[in-house]
Amino acid sequence: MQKDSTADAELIDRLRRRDPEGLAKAYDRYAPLAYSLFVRIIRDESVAEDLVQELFFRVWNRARDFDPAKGTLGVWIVSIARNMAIDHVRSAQGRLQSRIRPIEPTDQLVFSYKPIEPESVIDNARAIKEAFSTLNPNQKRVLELAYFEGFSQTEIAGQLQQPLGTIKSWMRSGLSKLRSVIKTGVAN
Amino acid sequence: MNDVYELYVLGVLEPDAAQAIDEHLGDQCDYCLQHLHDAVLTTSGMAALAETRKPPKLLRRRVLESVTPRPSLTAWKFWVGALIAASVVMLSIVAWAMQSARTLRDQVAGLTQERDQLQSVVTLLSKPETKTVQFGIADNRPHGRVFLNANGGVVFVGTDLPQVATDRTLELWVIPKNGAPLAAGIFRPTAQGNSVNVWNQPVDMAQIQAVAVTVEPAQGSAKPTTQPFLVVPVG
Ligand SMILES: [Zn+2]
Repeated sequence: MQKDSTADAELIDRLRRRDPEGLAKAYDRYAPLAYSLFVRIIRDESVAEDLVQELFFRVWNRARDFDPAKGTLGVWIVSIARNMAIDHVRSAQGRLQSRIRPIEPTDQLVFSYKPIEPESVIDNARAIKEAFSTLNPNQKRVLELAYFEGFSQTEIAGQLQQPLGTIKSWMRSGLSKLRSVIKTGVAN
Repeated sequence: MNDVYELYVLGVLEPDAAQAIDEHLGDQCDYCLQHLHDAVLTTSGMAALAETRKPPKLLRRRVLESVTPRPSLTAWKFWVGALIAASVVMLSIVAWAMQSARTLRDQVAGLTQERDQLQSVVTLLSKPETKTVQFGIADNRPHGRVFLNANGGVVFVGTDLPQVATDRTLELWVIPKNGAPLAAGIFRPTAQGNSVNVWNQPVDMAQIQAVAVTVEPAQGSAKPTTQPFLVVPVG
């Protein structure tokens, strides 16, 4: 973990200095994750490519806002990527966009809040993935619908034809397990 | 532990609940910010649940080129460079055209000269007083004829003449019985070793002992600088 986040800080430092090599390295580290995420959510490879380009365009232009000490480049990239993808799906489907967290609050969280200790989104993701495999199918299903489809709990309830309370319960227990991984990771 | 922070970050809260958190965060509640930060970590980690796909190789280049556009200075340099390149091409074309014109002019001049020479030869040959001297007989060795006319001058027609280096030339000499050899023109044999050289000067037939050919520097010499490889007595 430590090693990766140190490298992240170096990436941020290079990006802030407008070093294109920094962007190339950021791309090499995070583009596969972002691209996979875009394809998973949008299910269209050419749109995914466009969004990867837009994403790194944002990274390049926002470089000054990153703080190397916080080492949150990867978290920011993945969070923005997910929001971009959900936005795209929603506007393509003509769905309301009001529920999705606008990008700015996420920015604020990532930029303004110093983590307890440096973390790497990739290591973090690995841990989350492991934790996810321990969830039961219902927990998995509701979390996937929320994260990859951007459905609200009400929509998920309608989709799965389950009472809203049940959906909320599955989600709560699922998130709790994932959250404990983050806590453990931080504690380690 | 409340899952409201993750739901908020995921954007799956109902609008009124989300708005309440928005307002609360405006107050910079440290407790909530810390939990939201953890929630961001948790939810961002869910990206790894997506099946891993490799981005197309060309995308990397596209991304890097789109976010690192050539600075204007480089663009400026590029256009100036292109202009210079275009100018160089232009100059080359002009130079080539000029060279072509020069070559053409040279060729015309050469043709005119050849025509004049031929006329001289024809004129000389047609005159009854023209003296003809044959030299050499075997192939592969210089052979040919020398025509001499008191008013027309000397015409040297040679075959199987040696090739000379590009910075060298053959030079014809009229060698009088007394005195120094007279330079009678420079010439280069064709690839086949043939050459005609016309020296349009009145000559004192009685005083000419021989004609000779030497290899000289390209511009020719006033006096022979090498031993003649061919001497044709005409006396
Ligand atoms: Zn609070």
